[in-house]
Amino acid sequence: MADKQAPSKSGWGQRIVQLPLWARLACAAVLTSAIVLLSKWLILLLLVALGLWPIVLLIGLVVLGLVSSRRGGWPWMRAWLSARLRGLVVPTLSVAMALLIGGLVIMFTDRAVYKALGDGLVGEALGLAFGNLARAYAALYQGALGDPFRILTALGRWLGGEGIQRLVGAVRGPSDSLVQSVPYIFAGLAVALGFRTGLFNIGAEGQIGIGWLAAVIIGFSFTGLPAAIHLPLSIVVGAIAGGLWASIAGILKARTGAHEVITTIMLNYVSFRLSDWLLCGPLEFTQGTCRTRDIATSAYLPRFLDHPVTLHWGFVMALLAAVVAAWFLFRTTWGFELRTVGANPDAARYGGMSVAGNYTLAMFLSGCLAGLAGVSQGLGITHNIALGFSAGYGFDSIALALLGKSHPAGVVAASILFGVLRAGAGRMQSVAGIPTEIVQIVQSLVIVFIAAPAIIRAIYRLREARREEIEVTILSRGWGA
Amino acid sequence: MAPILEVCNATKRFPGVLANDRVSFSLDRGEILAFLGENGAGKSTLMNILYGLYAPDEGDITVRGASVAINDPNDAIELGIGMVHQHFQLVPVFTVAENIVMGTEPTRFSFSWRTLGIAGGAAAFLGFVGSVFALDSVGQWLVASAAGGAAAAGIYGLVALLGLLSRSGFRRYFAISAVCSGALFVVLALALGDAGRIPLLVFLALLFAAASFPAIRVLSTALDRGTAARRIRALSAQYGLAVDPDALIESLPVGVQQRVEIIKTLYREAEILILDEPTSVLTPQETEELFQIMRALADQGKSITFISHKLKEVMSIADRIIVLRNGRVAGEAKPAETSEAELAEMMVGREVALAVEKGPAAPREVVLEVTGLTAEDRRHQPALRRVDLFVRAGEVLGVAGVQGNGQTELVEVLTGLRPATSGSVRVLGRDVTNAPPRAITELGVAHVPEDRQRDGLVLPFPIFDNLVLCTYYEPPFAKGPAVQFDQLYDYAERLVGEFDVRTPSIALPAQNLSGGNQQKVIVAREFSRPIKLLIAAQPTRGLDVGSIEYIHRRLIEKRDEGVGVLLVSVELDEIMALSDRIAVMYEGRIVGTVNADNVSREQLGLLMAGAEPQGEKEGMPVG
Ligand SMILES: Nc1ncnc2c1ncn2[C@@H]1O[C@H](COP(=O)(O)OP(=O)(O)OP(=O)(O)O)[C@@H](O)[C@H]1O
Ligand SMILES: [Mg+2]
Repeated sequence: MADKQAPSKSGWGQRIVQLPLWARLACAAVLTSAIVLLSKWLILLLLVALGLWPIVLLIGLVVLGLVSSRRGGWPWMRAWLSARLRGLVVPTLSVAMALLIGGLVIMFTDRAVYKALGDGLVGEALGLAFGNLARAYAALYQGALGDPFRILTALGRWLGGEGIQRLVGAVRGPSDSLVQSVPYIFAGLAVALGFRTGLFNIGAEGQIGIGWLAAVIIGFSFTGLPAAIHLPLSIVVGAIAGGLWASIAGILKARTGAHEVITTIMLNYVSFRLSDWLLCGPLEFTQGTCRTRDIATSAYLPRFLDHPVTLHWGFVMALLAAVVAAWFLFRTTWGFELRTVGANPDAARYGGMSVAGNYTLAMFLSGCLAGLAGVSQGLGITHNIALGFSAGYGFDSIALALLGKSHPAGVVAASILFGVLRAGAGRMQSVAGIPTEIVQIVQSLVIVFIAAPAIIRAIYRLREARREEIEVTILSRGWGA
Repeated sequence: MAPILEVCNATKRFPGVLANDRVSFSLDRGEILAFLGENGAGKSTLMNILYGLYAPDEGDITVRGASVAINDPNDAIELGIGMVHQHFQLVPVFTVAENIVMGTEPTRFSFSWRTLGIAGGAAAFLGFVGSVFALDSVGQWLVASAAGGAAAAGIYGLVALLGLLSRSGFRRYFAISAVCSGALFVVLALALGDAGRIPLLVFLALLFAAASFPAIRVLSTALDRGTAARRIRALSAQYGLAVDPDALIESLPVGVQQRVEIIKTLYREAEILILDEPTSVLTPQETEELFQIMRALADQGKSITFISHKLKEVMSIADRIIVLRNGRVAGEAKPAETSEAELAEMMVGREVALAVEKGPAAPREVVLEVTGLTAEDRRHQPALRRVDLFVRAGEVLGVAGVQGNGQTELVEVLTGLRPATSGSVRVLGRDVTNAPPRAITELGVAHVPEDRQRDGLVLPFPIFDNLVLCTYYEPPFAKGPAVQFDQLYDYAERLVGEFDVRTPSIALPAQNLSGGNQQKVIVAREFSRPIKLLIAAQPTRGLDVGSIEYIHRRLIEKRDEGVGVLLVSVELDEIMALSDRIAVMYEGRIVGTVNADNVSREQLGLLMAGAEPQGEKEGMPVG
């Protein structure tokens, strides 16, 4: 079998792989340090691009048009687009439906509207309602993606030689969205990894808390350590703490068959109450605050830019985690085992894999990822942990994993979407006076429409896509046996 | 008499495959029509088109003289077409009745008081919730919710009684109920002297109309259990399909599960029954019973199409036979006017040897030795009672027996998938009793499992992954933890070619392969690694005659290479054709081991029924 050497595809990647080890390491080192040195500018570029996404999209289309004119014109372009965008149709429509219905909710949850209706002033009521809607969604957009005109002006002035501060201020919206998406990416990957193994990890919320707590404890317990040691130490300890916490459910499942849905839910409560007690008790910093001391600055996840842009290195970590998770799941034998156990445990046993062992491993890794969500919040944003830290990232991440079809790339995309909604929510509340609850209703509606793609297909009369439905049933197999 | 079903030039393409190519045929009332064809010839695809699971790319379907479009199984059911799939679609933990009723969305709105109550109640609740928002006093809330309830109940009653909906389309229901409830609410508002609230009430009416539809649809199915059980009993009596509506599916033998599937179609008033390989999982006895049922159904005017690979069966039950080859109709015949050999040739396009050529065995050392083995089945009943047997290198030991006499459990214990409660299993002289499956595999034991979709394949995974299900971690497929995709692809390409798996690509998910080609993937995987012992359970289940011939040849080749083969099969013909020695199992015991050369079908039949063996029993050789 081994005698037949596969014809190596003479690609760019292949050539690098064939270099000697030291050369490869050197390449990696040079590349990494270049990225680190340029990180500030790269991130700024990313944020500006996000804020100006319509322009970026336009440029992309133009480039695509140019490429396609060389490769075969419109048919080629259409094929290229449809191959890439097909999977986006249902999620996009789901979001649109959710925004539509959410819009109705925003329009009609205002007493003034009903008062006008009751007084028979239909026109005025509609006016009020649409006024609400416009203000709310404008605020949502600006909170999440910034004001494109402001960004453009700031960009112009910066290019004209003014200081960078104005531009940084203008991209606060996109930055907030990405900041919110960081814990989502980690937690979404955690749940997705579980799904792939046929496990329904409902406990991400608790694992986030444990990871957060552990990282913060390490963060404030040591002072005077160099950041190069302190930061990685806090990160690793936080991740492992989350992993071990989740392993409890994994081991219970492997040893006794206790269903992970139940055990992880219960472990959530244990972790909530445990941290309540710790935060208002032994770990409390000053009486009555119910929060810990701040961590030492050596454990801070560094930020890329100045206030008000809070985007930190956790974002890069999250993207790396997604890449590693994808590699692990789809390119290694370990991932193959996990996926086999998830898709068909009987066949996995037949193939000589340890079903119990893989459950435990998957739960541990899933917990590590969830723990990292907490770590990134603790070391990157709050720098401590306070009572009520739980912000629902863990629960939302279940929907995220579904939305992203349990694929790391999908999870990242879905996380950014949720980050956008969440960042916009804050502003919608503060500027337009819409309760965050309404924003959460919109988010929940997105989830409902995504969890039931059949609804969207029925409404828009999309045909088929049976493959996808099969995938969904497999994902939710965790409820079975 | 005009045919009940006519298909004209049906064509179906999958990426890279022309699964059906201008297929035309007709089916008469009360006729049993058999489809024959190689694995991947497009039989299941054709049936799936009739059942609305696939949309044909071209072609017309005519049912009872009218041209129809079958877009989904609901359409098919509406037209009186029912299907029993190659792999059953039952929920094991549900009862028979639940499985039958499940998914029977009421295709017609029939009137029932209970549904009326549900609809009214649901709407009243919604009305209450809505009015708390919009109106000011408790009195008004109550009036609004009562009105909502009355409206919904009234609408439902109206719709059901007038039979406005023959099919439960959402849009139509929504339109009707929105108009009705809107009108009702407006009247109500006028009566209350509160005309200013009319717009609001219209809005609420729309909400009610939308919300009551799913409520009615879901709840009315869920609550009609009692009637369901009665109808199931009536159907069983009418067609001689004995089942207990309250039994759990997982506790039923395969043959009975299949009956449940048939009742499921009859329950939905099917006139045309499609059976996809109904006999491939049945014992000869169960097949006999199924044929009686099919005859009864046909005599009472039902039309049946079925697929089979077993020429004998087709000859005995079918009124007419259509042969597909490469997606095209290759020929049509009546059983009286054709022969098995002729059919086989029509299928494969060449002459097929229906019996294998094999020389005498040259048995060597013992590779598998089983002594005093006992084990329990899934329900913790004794399944194996002190089984002794051995297999030598270079011979085929056939294990014959009626399905369910412990063969399944024997294979599972031997391969490490089921614990033995006592006794020992030795492979190549090493004790592997209750060893993990991988330890056994690594000794050079191959296993073709009985249930290919449960144990043998990971259906959503591509073919190439399935081909290394047991060896994925070994070089050359892995280097450390990294999967070596190039090697993997090469290997898969080679095996797919060698074993003639009909597929457009090695990346096709196994679930998109035809049933027989799924089996070939498993056989290819297990035959293609260095092995000393081959344990094959029903290795040719669902394969066409050509492929059976091929697998049989490979099996004998393995034997001649010095592999010990344990062959478990319910097909007596297969056992007799391949085995050197035959062990007969009955109620978890080996009741006799005989030499294949000097035993007749009748003698084996007697043994399988539990009679004491007449010939001398072979002793254990000293190995
Ligand atoms: N969903 C699908 N996607 C792609 N190809 C498919 C799909 N379903 C079937 N095919 C292909 O269509 C061909 C016909 O398949 P079909 O299942 O109809 O065969 P069959 O005659 O029922 O064979 P068997 O006797 O093995 O069950 C096969 O080559 C199969 O690989
Ligand atoms: Mg088939």
